[in-house]
Amino acid sequence: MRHEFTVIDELETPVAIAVAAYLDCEHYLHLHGSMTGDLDILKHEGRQVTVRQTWKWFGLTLGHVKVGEYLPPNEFLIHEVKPSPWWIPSVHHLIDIQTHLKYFKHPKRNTTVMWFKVVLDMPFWLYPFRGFLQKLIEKMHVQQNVEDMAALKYRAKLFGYENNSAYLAPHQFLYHKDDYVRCFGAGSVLLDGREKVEAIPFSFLN
Amino acid sequence: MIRDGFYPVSIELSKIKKGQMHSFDVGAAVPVVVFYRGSELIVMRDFCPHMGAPLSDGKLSADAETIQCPWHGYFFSTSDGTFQSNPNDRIFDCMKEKYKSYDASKTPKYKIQVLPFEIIEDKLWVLKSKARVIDVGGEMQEALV
Repeated sequence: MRHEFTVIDELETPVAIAVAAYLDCEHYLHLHGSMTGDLDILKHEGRQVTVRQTWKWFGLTLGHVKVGEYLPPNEFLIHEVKPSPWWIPSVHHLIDIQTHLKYFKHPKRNTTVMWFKVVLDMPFWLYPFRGFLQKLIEKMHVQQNVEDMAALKYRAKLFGYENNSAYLAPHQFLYHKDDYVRCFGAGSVLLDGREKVEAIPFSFLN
Repeated sequence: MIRDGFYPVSIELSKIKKGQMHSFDVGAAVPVVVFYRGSELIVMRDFCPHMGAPLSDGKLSADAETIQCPWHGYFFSTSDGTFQSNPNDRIFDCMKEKYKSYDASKTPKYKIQVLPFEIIEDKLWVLKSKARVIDVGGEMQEALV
């Protein structure tokens, strides 16, 4: 049975920075260290990256494998989430989780509207727990957002609100960096107006 | 008491514990991180030159030779503030050659500012000089601590 929910929030940062922060793979192990113990890149093909994300639990290494996909300029998908190692008891054996994250330019302010949709496909006997599962996912998402936003606000005070130059530096690695530079770098296609980050429809906003 | 050439707020030495990093605002909105490396006191800007993270939230190695940024995990030398290594390379090296916009030959030139200081009675005063500890402060620390 299918359960869908959407989280909408406003992030006090421009879309170019919000996207960079998402693609900034190096920060996940450190800034979000409480949620990720280690990462392995299993496969990288086009705009899809398959990673194993693990953490320690009473001496055991537990985790999951997932496929993350970037749809430039401002969309991100996660799908094919499987437990790792495969034999561990995990909710991922029973529930198929897919997420779709999109960052919109706020129609009135130079901020980002985050639109995060989660689709859970589960057996009927787990369906009564859908509210609990939703809260769990929302809680993790909020924690990550809070950590990111605290860092981005701190950084904005020092380097400037719209300054994404650190992400564009040749020695800085990001997932799908060529796409990011094409969309948000100097002389980018977004600035030329050939490709745009659309503004979120007003109907999504409270 | 304000001393010429120094940031206006001093730091009480009794507040600095061995094996710990301490963040202080020495005035003029300049946060500094202070710690012991062996018996030597080190004062650095509490600011990662990569993206601005407060280094006092990071980790000091057991021998206090390196300090690790809390946001990206980069290691910096505590003797001269230079970038030492990126621990994430072991994970992402397998992807890097696929991107034209990433240049593996470019080593970050990030450098944390190590600040000279003087100890007068039981207080540490940070000098406003832009000189780095290896140029000026190192001698001053040896002479004054």
